[in-house]
Amino acid sequence: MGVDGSRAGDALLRVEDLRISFGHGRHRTEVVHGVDLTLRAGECLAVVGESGSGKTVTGRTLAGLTGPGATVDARRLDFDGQDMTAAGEREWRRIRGAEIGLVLQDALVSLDPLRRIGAEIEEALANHGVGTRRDRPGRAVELLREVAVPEPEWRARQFPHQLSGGQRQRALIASAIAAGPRVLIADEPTTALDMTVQEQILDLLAARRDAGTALLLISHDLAVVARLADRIAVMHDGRLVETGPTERLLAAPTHPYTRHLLDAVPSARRPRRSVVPAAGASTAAGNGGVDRTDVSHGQATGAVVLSVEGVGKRFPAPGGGIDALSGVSCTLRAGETLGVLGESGSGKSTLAQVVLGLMEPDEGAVSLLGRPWSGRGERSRAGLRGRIQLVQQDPLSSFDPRWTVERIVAEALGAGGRRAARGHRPRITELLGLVGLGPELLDRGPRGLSGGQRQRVAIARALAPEPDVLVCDEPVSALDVSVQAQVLDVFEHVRERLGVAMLFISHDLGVVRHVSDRVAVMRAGRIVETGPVERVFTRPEHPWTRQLLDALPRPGTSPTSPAGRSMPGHVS
Amino acid sequence: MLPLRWFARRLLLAATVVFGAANAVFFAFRLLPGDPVRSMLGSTNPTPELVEQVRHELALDEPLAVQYGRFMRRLFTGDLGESFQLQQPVGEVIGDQLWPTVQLATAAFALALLAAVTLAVLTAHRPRVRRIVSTLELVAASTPAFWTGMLLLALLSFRWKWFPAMGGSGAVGLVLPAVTLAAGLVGVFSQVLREEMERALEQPFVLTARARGSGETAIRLRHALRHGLIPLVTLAGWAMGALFGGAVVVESVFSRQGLGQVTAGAVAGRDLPVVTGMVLVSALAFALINLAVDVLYRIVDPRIDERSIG
Amino acid sequence: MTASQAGPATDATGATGPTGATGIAPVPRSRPVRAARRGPRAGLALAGAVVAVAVLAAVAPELLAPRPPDTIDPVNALAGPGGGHWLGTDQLGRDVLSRIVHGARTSLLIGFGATAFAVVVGSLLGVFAAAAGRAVDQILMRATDILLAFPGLMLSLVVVAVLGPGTANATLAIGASLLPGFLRLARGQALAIRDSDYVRAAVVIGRGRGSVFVRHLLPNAVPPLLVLATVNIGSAVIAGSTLSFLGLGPQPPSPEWGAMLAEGRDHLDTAWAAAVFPGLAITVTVVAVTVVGRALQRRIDGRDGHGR
Repeated sequence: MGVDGSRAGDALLRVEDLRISFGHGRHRTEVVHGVDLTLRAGECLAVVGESGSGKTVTGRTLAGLTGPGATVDARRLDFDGQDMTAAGEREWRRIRGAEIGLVLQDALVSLDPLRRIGAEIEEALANHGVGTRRDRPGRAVELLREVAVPEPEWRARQFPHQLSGGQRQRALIASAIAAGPRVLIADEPTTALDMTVQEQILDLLAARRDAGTALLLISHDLAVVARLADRIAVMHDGRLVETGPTERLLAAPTHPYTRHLLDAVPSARRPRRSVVPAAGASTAAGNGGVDRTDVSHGQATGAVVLSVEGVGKRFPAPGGGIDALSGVSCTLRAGETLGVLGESGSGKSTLAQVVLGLMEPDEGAVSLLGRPWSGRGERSRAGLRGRIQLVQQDPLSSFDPRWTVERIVAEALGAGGRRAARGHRPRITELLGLVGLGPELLDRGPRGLSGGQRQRVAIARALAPEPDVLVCDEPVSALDVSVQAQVLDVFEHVRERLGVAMLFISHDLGVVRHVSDRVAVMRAGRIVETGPVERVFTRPEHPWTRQLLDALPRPGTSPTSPAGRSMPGHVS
Repeated sequence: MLPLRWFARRLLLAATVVFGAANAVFFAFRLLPGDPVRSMLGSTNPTPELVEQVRHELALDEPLAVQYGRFMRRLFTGDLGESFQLQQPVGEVIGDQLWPTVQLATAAFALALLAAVTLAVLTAHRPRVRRIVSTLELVAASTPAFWTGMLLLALLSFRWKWFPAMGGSGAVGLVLPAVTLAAGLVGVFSQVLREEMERALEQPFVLTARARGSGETAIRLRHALRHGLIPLVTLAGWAMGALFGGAVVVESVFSRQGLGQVTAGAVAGRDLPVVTGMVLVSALAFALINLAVDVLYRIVDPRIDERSIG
Repeated sequence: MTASQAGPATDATGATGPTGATGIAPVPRSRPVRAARRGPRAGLALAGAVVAVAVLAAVAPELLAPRPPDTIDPVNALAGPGGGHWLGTDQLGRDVLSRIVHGARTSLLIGFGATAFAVVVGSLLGVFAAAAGRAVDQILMRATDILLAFPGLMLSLVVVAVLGPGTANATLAIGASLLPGFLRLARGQALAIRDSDYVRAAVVIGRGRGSVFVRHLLPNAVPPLLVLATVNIGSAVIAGSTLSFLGLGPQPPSPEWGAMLAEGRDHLDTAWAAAVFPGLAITVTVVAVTVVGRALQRRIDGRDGHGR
C-alpha cells in the first residue's frame, strides 16, 4: 500500500447518487436521497448529522449491510475500481472485513458477550483465510498489542464485559482491522465513552489513517470529528448539505444547517449564554422573547434555599462497600444555578437522590429553605415537598405510560383523577405555555410525544407545585443537539421568569458551562473543586478539572483554542 | 472458579426446598379435610372398629408431634415407610421403577432438544417459514400428551403395526413413548430458543460479525445459537417437571412400567406413603437440577460471574 | 446508468439475508411482516367463533347436541362415524358428538375456574409480599420456591391425593399448581413499579402511599396478570383433561373430554372414532383459546408497552 501517495492516490470508494429506501410499494420510503462521496487511502472523511439524518444507513450500505427490506440504488458504487452496485451477498462477504472494516458505537454490545475477545478477532482472520488455525491466536494477540490494549495475552482470553470501555473499543477496532482492510468505517466510535478515553480512541484512529487506511468517520458530534477529519460532509434529512475541508467548513460554513449545528453545540470553550435559539425552533424562540428583562441574573446573592453539609453515603459492595458520597458540602441560593459536573460513577446521581429526600444520607444533613430536610419521615416532609422538584434524564420512564399529558401535569397540582384533572385545565395550559408547548398536546400519551416535548412536559410537571429548587439530573443527555439547545433555552427561560434555583447535574462540560452560575466538579464521591463558572473553566485549580478540560476536542472555530493544537496535519 | 460460599448457599437452599416439601406434604395429609384411612378402605362401608384398627396399624392415631418426630427421623435415615397398597417399602418401590422412567425422560429430552435446535436455527428471522412452524408449535402445545400417544398408537401400532402396542422392550418399545413425551417439549423449547436467537440476531455484535465477513450459517451457529441456549438452560427445571408429569400420562397410555404409573396408582388409591415418597424424590430431583442449572449457567454465560457475587 | 440492488436481503440463496437493522431508526416493516399481520385476522375470527361455540356448548348443550349424552344403545356400540351418529358411538353405544358437546361445560369450567382461582389468590399474595416488608416477603417467596419445586402435575396430584377426586377438587388442584407463577409475577410487577421513575416522580410531587397504590401501582400491575391468565387458560384446560384421563377428575358417567378418551383408550384397536374426536375437541378448543388470548395480549402490550 502506497502510504506516501495518500493524496494523489485514486479513490478507494466512489459513490454517486446513492439512494436508499425501505419498504415496498406504497409503504416505500426513501431515507437517503442521492449522496455523492469519495474516499482515498490515508484520508479521513467525516459524515456528520443528527439521528435520523441517514448517516448510519449510508455507512452500512458502503459495507453492503443495509439491512432487510432495503432497496439500494446508485449511479455508481465502486470499491477500488470494482463496481458493487450489482454485487451479491457472496461478493460482499469477500470484501467485508478483508477490504472494508466496520466499527460500531458500543463495544459492549458490538462484541459477542459470550465469546472471548481473541475468538472474535480470530473469526475475522479465519473468514478471509489469513494465517493458519495454529498461528491465529498469536496473531490476535499481536493485533491487540497493535491497538495498545495492555496485557494482550491475558485480554485475548477475557470476555468483553471484563474489559474497560476504552479497552473494549480498542479490541473492537482490532477485530475490524484484523484482515487488513483498506477502508475503515467507524460509526460513532467514541460516543459511549468518557471524555478522557474518547481522546485515546481518536488518537488510535488517527494512527490508522496515518498508516494509509481510508477512514470514514460517522458522528453526531462536530467537535469530535474536527480533531480527526480531513474533510467533513454534513448530512441532513438524507442529503449531504455541505462538504468541504475541515478548517474551511468550521470557519466559514456556507449552508444554514451547518451553521445551525455549529451554533447548537453548547461549547465548553465559550462563555455561557452564547447559544442562540435554533433557527427552526419557533416555539422556543417565541417564548424566549417574553419578559427577558424581568429578572436579571447577575451574581446570585439571594437567601440560601438548599444546603448540603458533610453528606456521606455508603453502598454495600464486595470488599467492604463503596463511598458513593463522602463529605459533600454545597449551598444553593435563590435564583442561582449550580452545575454539578462529573463522569459516570462520580456520585452525582446519588447526590440528587439525597438532596431530593429519596435516599437518606449516612452522615451529614440536608436542609431546605432553612429547615431540616434529611433524616425525617416522608409524611412530615409533606409541607415542604413541593418546594423541591426533579427533572430526570429519561422523561418517558418518568411518566405513567397509561396517562395523558393533562393527567401527568395535573397530578403534580394535586389532582390525581381524570375528572379532577379537567378542572385544572387553565393552569395546566399555562404551565405548558411556559415550556413552549401548545394545548393540543393535552390529550396525548407520553409515547405520542417527541423527545424534546417529553422533557418539556417533565419540566412543566416539576414547575407545577411552584418549587424553589429544581434538581435536574442529566436532563438533556438523551436528546439530539438541536433539541438539546431548545430544552436548554426552556431552562433558561424558566429561570428568568420564575427565579427558581437549579441544581443542574451533567457529565457534559459544554452544557454545564452554558447553564451554570457556579460549578461543582465531582470525582469518586467528592467535590474536588467549586467556583464561579468562568473561573473554573478558564483557570481550573484541581488537576482533575484540568484533565477534563484538556480532554475536550477543540473545534477550529473556538476562539480560545491555540491554533491547530490538535488539528490533523494534512488536509486534502 | 466457583466461589465456595456461593455454592454452599445454593446447596443450603436446595436442602431447604426438600425439607420444606417434606413438611408441606406431611401436614397437608394430616391437617387438610379428608380421612386417608376411610378413603383407603374405599366404598366398602367399613365398620368403625375396622377403621380404628387400620388407623392404629398405620400409627395415625398417635399425637401429631409423635408422628412428626418419627416421620423426620425416618426421613433422615432414608426410610420412606411402607406402601399401603403394595405392602412393600416405598424406597424399594421407587428404586425398582426409577430406571425405566429415567430412560424414557432422557430419550425424550434429547429428542426434543435436537428437534428444537434444528427448527430454531432454520426458522429464526425467516418470517415465512416461521409462521408455519409456529402454528405447528401452537398445535403441539395445545395437544394433551395422552391424545398424541393414542393417535400414534392407533396409526403406527394398530393400523400399520410398525411398533408394539404395549410395553415392548429395548429401543423399539421406547420410540413411541419418547416421541409422545418429546412432542410436548419441542414447541416450548424451539419457541424460547428462536425468540432469543432472533433477539441476538438483531444485536450489534451480529452486525459486527457480518462486517468481518462471516456468513449466515456461521452467524447462526457460532453466535446466535449460544445466546439461544442460555434461556433454555433456565428451562431445565421446568423441563424436568414437564417430563415427569408427562411420564405419568405416557406410561399410562402405553402401559409402560415406571414412576409415573406408580404415582398415578398411588394417587388414585390414596397410598399416602408412596405419594409422600414421590413428592420428596421429585423435590430432591428438582433441587439438584436447579443446582446443576446454576453451575451450568455460569459456564454458558460468562457475564453471570460478576453479577451474582454481589 | 442506474443499477438497482434489492439490498443484500434477497441474496443468491434466496433466504432472508443479513438482518440486524439495529440502530437504523424506525425501519418500515417489510412485506412478509405485513402479510403476517393480515393472516391472524382471519385466524382470530375463526378462533373467536370456536370459543363462542365452546362457550355456547358449555352454557346450553341441549341447543347443539343431537341426543342426550347418556342414552345407552348397546347394539350400536363402538360404531364408526356415519349413519345416525356423526362421530360414532362409544363402548356403551352413547353418541360421541352429544357427549363432546355436553362435556364442554366440565372441561371449560375446570380450565377457567382454576385460572381465576390462581389469578385472584396469586395476585393478592404477590402484592402483599411486595408491600409487607422484607421478612414476610422472604417467607412467602421461599414458600413459592418450594411450590415451584414440584412439577405442575405433581402438585395437582398431591392436592387430589389429599382432597380426593372430583370436579371441584380437580379445579382446586390445578389452580394450586398455577398459583406460584401468578404470585411471582404480581410481586415482580409490584416491585418494578414501586421502583420506577414515574413512581419516584409521583413521590417528589408529593403523592402519598395510598394515592400511588391506587393510581399507579394497581392499574399498571393488573394488565400483565390478565395477559398471563389468558395464555394460561389453555394449559389449565389440558391439565384438567389430563387429571380426568387418569380418573382423578369428574367421575363417570358424567361426560368429560379426558375421561371419554380414557374409555376410548381400551378400544383403540377396534374403534378409533371414540378415541379421536374428544381429543380433537380439546386441541381445537385450546388452540382457539390461546389464539384469542394472544390477541388480547398484543392489545394490552400495545397499549401499555410498545407503540402508542
